[in-house]
Amino acid sequence: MKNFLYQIVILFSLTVFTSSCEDSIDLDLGNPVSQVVIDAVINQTTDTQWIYVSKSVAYLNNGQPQGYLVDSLGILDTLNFVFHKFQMKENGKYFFVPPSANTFQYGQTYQLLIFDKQNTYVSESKLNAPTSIDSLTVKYEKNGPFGGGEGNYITLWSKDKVGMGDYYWFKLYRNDSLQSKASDIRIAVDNSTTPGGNGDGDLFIIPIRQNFSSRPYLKGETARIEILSITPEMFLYLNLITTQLQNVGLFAVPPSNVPTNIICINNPQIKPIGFFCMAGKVSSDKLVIP
Amino acid sequence: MLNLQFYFMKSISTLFVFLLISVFSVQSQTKYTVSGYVKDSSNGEALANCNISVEDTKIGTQSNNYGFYSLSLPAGTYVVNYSYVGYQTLSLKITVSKNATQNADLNKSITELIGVSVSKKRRDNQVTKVEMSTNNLNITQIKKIPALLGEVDVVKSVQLLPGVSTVGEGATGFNVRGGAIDQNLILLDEAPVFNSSHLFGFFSVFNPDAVKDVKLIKGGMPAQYGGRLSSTLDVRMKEGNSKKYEVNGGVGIIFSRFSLEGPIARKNEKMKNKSSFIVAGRRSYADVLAKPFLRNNENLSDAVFYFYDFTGKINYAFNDKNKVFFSTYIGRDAFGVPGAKFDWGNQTATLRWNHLFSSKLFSNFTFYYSKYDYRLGFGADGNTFEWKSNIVNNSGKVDFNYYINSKNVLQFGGLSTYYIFKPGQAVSSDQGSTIQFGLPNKYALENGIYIENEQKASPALTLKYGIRFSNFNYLGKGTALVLDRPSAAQRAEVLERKTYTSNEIIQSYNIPEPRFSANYKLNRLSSLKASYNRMSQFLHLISNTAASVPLDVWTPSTNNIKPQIADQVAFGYFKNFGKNIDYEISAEVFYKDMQNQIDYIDGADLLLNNQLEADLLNGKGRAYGLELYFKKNVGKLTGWISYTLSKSERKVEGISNNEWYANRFDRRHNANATMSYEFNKKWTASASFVFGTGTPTNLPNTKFSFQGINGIPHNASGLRNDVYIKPFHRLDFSTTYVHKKTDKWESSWVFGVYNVYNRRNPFSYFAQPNPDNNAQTQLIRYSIIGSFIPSVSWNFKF
Repeated sequence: MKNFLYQIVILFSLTVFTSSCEDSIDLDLGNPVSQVVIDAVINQTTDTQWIYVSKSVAYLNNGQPQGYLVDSLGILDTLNFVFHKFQMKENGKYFFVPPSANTFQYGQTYQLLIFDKQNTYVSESKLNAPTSIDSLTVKYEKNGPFGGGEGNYITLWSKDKVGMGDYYWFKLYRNDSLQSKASDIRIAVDNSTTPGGNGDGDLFIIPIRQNFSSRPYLKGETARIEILSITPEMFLYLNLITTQLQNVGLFAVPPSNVPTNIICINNPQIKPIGFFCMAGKVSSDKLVIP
Repeated sequence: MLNLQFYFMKSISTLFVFLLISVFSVQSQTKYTVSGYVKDSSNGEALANCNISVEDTKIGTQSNNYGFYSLSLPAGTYVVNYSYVGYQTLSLKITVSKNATQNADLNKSITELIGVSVSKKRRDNQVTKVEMSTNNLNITQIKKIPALLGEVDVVKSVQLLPGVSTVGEGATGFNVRGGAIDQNLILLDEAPVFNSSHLFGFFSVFNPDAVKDVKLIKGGMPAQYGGRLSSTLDVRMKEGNSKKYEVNGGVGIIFSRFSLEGPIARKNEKMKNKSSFIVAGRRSYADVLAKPFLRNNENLSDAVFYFYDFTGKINYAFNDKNKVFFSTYIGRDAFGVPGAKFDWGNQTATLRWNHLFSSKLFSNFTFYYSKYDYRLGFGADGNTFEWKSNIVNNSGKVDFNYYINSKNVLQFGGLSTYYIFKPGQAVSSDQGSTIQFGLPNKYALENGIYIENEQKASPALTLKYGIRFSNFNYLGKGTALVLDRPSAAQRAEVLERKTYTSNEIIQSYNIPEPRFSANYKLNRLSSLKASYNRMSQFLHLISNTAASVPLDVWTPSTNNIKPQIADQVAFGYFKNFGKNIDYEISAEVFYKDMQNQIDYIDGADLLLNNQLEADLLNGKGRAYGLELYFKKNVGKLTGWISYTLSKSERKVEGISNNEWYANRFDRRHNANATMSYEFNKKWTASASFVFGTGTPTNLPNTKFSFQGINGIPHNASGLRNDVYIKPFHRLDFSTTYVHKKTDKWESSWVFGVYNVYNRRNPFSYFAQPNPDNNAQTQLIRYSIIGSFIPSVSWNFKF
């Protein structure tokens, strides 16, 4: 929300002062240490689940990030002591096909375990039940929300789960392609954007439910939204990522590293990067713009 | 540590009692009082800080903020000199045989134009006065400084003074001696102004047509001021011409200005020329001018962006002993495009009553109201989201000046302020059904009492010593959070929420603040000064951005947010020289220690967060530096050069590996020069040059991807603000052509160029994914103003 507000502020300031400018520059950022990056978001469905392991690269190196090979990895069911081992598809990409819809249970805690030579990386996450989606609708607007122009805009009709302290991540697939720019990241706590004073079990508020159209939709385009019930830690993580990726201009905050929830248990000095989260997932039907 | 503080306070109190005894023990001979007001003869404006000296004696004083002065003299005949920069020194022969009133009307100096001083009796204040770390600017000086788009700007002028810097062009506010922007108490006719900027930080809210003078106090803070750590910027509005009607105005690129002032109650012969009013307004019209160009842009054709302010003041003298002033300011900025709008502004109102209890006891009673608010809304066609936030304060204040004898002037008084904070209330409405959410109001009561004496301890030594007691109460109705922070720099956990009823004290703080200044005159033209002050601050601007945003929220000290406290010492050398004492130089060093500085956890959520306090960290700060100042006040060439060498740092557990790190507004070197040359009665040229080494920032050195989100920045060192941005420098130029000047009509053109040599000064560096291809990342130098900006404006007066 705050980032969104700042964007508005910046938009206004730029409208008025078009003389402000940005130039690409080159600075020596030293020889940074490369760190292990773990990307593990697992849902309850029987879809193929993926874990990605890679190494961080120098900031100004615009080559492809390299996958990183580990000895083995998987998800440990801490209640039944079952280890779901992931198989390697390609360098650093590991997959697992859950045998049944009951493989991962709501309310239960799971552990991520990665064995990399002498190092063991561990994390833990609870699986929260998903909410439900009523529908995804489209409406032609003369003036789009948030200062957008004339065109088709989509609205997500969905309610927060009953009970306070539910955290959500909305993933938008436009024409089957995940929208993954920083400006596309949409998260919520209960039915609002920030913790505190929110409506419980209500429709997601206006800035959330209408904010899925960075530009109006054209006829024939498709849209689909997934809602993941994430952990509070993952909410913070995504919030921080959004801030860090859009941390520009007059109103930038001090840049900082996004924290991880993964530790190297045999050597705390080794700092991995990345996050592990179990999340209940629900998806809307694919909407084709008429 | 506690013990040390105890002994320190104890010795201060002992010294204080000793000095107070000495105050009343100097009377020997029968003395009479000569008192009155010092004013500008042309328009009746009171002249504050006018130097009044009695020839062939060591006796002298200064007029107070309302132009009042009082001298104690034995019977006899004296020549009293009234001198004020920019005015001819007035010498009056006075025979004293009883208490008498002697007003002084000073004429504007013609030396300003012809460059020859007619007075050799000029005594400049800086050597004689006990105050240090203080800069006075009157509006005539401010108007000479070249300004962005030709708009004369009080705050931008202040930024050219030693010890003052900003985080960059376009940033709101200013930083004084390594302090944050919320550590400046900005007063407009006694009422605090919470946001001093229009259009983020490009223009200040003070209309130059309504401002008389400004005073910036950076150290040696008089006991009458309190509530902010780093400075007081006291902006005084004109009273209005009490002799004739006068219209001032101007047409510029951004604003048009208009003001009207004149006398009131002229029929009463006795009180003629003693009461007056002024109204002044400005409005920007960038929106009006831009409209034709935006007609074809569907996103911007209905855009609004404007700002305005209105300033009004009236003063009425009931008799020689009672005068009432009422002043008000209303300003607003508004921006909007279809579907989104945003506006903010300040409002202040001040009612003051000057009462003379006797020729020795001057008093001023003030009541003021001040409000800052903003509104943000988006949506249309029945689907809307609106958000409001504000801070309101109502205050009563009383100040006394007691001219005890020729050696002592006692100031004392008190203040009480009731605050209402509305951190954020939002309404989301959807086809008739509305949901309200947001944060509850917060309430607080701040009280302060002070006493301070200025004493001429010997012909060479002047002392000023006093104490202020500040008391702050965080009040109900409200909820207090009991927090536990398991690890440093992480979000704290809320253990308990305690509820309090209306006006119940949730948390109270009492802070004694000793103040001390000394001036030792080495000779007629030079002096050494020293000062110590303790300041406390109970209001905090919650902001972790490089430049403050109008959305930033003020919050009171609570059970979790401790009051900020600063102790500052400063030493200075002051010297005047030149044939007619035209030049002033000064050198000061300062050290400031700050406690309970607010910092933020990574990813702090500062808006609409009912657990905001869980995201705030508490650290300590320190700032130190050297300030050099060279000033030429009179003649054809006037202006000043300032240089500041300083460092401002902070230490917060859990941030930057627990080491001291530089504040975002830290600037090591800062040099400014502003000069104005009057060629003849028609042409004047001015130039300003500013130079500052870069402010620190931090940059990532690696990156990674997560769930398809590319280019997430990372830095393995964990240090904050360890990369310094390249230096900033800029030259501005302006020239004024007086087109016509008669007794009845005056008009002038001002032509200016901002950023003459077209430099793209970096405001910051940042790292970001390429907007067209987010798999690629880049470093960006961000400049607020990327080119030179010419301007022209036309001003008139009749």
